[in-house]
Amino acid sequence: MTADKQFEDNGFTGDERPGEPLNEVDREDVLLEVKGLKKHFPILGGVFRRPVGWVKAVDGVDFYVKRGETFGLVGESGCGKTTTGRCIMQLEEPTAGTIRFNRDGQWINVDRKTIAGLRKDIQIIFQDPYSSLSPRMRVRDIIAEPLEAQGMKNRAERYARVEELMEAVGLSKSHMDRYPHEFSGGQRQRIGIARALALNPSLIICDEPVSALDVSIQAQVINLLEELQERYGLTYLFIAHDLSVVQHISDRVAVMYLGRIVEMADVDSLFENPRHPYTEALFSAIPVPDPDFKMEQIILEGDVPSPSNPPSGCHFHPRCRYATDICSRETPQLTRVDGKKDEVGSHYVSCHRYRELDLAGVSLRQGA
Amino acid sequence: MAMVFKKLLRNPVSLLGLVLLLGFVLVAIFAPVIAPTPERYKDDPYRIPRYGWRAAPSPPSPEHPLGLTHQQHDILYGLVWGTRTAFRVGITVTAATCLIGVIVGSVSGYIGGRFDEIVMRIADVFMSFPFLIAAIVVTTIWGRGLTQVMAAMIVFRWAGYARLMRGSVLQVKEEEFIAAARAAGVSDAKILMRHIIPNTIYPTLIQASMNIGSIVVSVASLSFLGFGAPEGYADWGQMISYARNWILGTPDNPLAYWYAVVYPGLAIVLFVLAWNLIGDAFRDIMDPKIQG
Repeated sequence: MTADKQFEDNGFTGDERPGEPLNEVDREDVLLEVKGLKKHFPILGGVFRRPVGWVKAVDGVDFYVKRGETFGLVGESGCGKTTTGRCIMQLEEPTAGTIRFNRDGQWINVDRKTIAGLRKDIQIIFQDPYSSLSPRMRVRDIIAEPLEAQGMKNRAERYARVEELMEAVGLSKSHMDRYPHEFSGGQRQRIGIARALALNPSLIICDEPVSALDVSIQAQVINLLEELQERYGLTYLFIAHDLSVVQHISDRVAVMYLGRIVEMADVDSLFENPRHPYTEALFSAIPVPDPDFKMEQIILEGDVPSPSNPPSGCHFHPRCRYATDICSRETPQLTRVDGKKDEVGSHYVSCHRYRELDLAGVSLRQGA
Repeated sequence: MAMVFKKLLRNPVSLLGLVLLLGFVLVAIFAPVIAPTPERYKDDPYRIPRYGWRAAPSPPSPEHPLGLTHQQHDILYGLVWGTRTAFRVGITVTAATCLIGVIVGSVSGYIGGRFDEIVMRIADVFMSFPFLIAAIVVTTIWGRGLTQVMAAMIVFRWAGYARLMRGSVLQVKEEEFIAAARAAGVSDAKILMRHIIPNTIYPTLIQASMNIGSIVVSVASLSFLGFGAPEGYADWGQMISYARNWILGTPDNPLAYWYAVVYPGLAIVLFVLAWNLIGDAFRDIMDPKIQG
């Protein structure tokens, strides 16, 4: 079956069909597909340390990342976005679901066994530049480590590559022999980026790469990431909680709430025309640098429920001002609401009432 | 490491410890010069020479500067050559227990889960025996001797280090640089050797340096009880043991045989003190996570 044929079988025919669920995407331009991903952590209790409950950190996540794009994954702390990234890298073993990677037209299931062969294709940048570099290793050895692990035996060759990488991320190669604590946060994050680039991956999972940095440094690192993307044709899965950063860097964005994706769309479509009440509330919280600007602030009642005991139906319903009966009874599916096939602009939302609601977005590129 | 050493030298407390330790090292190295072995004992220099058959100790004299203890064993000779025994026992036992503890603790902590649970329960079993009793049982089975005592100490002492090591490994293995190494495809063995152990071993090393002294005390107590070094062997515990019957002196002079008790006791106290001072200073240096 050709990729195109299968694609049609899955319901992505030419005409607009609102209400289409997100199915398997077998297209050439898709690099990574995540389907039904779940990660449940056991809560151990009692003398025998048996699981007495489960924290459903990721509870059925579907999305796909297109080749060459930056796919933003946003949500508040504890919504499972970092766990999603770690599951893709198999740093956590997923409880359920499939992750597939498209290597030159060949689909590979990403799991514990295949990940070893995929490390050259998928790499990760971590959130905390202080914890992500071993304090007792020199920078040259930190950056060379993936090369060594992936079989570059020649030491001189490795270090030549390290020099190249350090220059690519804007570090002086004369600093190769220093230890991580001799660098600033921004520089350390550049070291982390150089390490992720070492194997020439096509996909880099950026797990909140700038949230630990000062705002002024954030911009530099973001610019560096964009520059590297252009130069090496990288694809980013960009995990963050800062909406303005995500808006700036992403082509497409998915919004997560309590282990599920509530909305996924092209960045402009999402910000201008959010279709999920949670997205709307999230956007109303973006600070606007204009004292005269008045926008309705949607204050969500209560706290985020515990992922060990999520609400029934739509996870968001207890805090949603539009919730009706059905919201607490049935779990909404991630559904395409507009856009043709999978063009840029196709918009997916997981809400029972998306047809009736008229939600407020934010005007794009404010102040930018 | 060089930096740590520099800091040890700058701290007066640890400097005292280092000086004491250096003194003991020199005594151990130059034992044949300080206390030459008499011709008739040449085949076994670790036997303390005897100068007569009288039971009661003899006071210091020009030929025997520290006096002769029970059955006329030379105190100076016993102490000087006993320094070698102390180092051998202390370092062998500490190195072996530390090595076993580091390997078991780091592997157990790194693998985690049920394996970790089982290993730690086994460690609990070893830790639950009162050490002296366990050592006495072992020497009863294997026979008297320093080797047996050392083996017993190794068998019953590794668990403490394993515990300590595991604790720090559990903490460090959650750090992002471990995840980064795994993401890069570094093998588990290399992650342990290159990332986990270098970042967790310091508390264990500090513990080890403090323990060398206490191991020497334990061996001395076993020798005192008659389970350690063979009769006549140069060992501080043995020297104390010789003094046992003479601690109270004679009825008219309770301090008559002070030299038989004080000199061996002093050697042990100073040796333990040296290691403890170094261990303490080492800990203070390492405590605020070393930067530099």
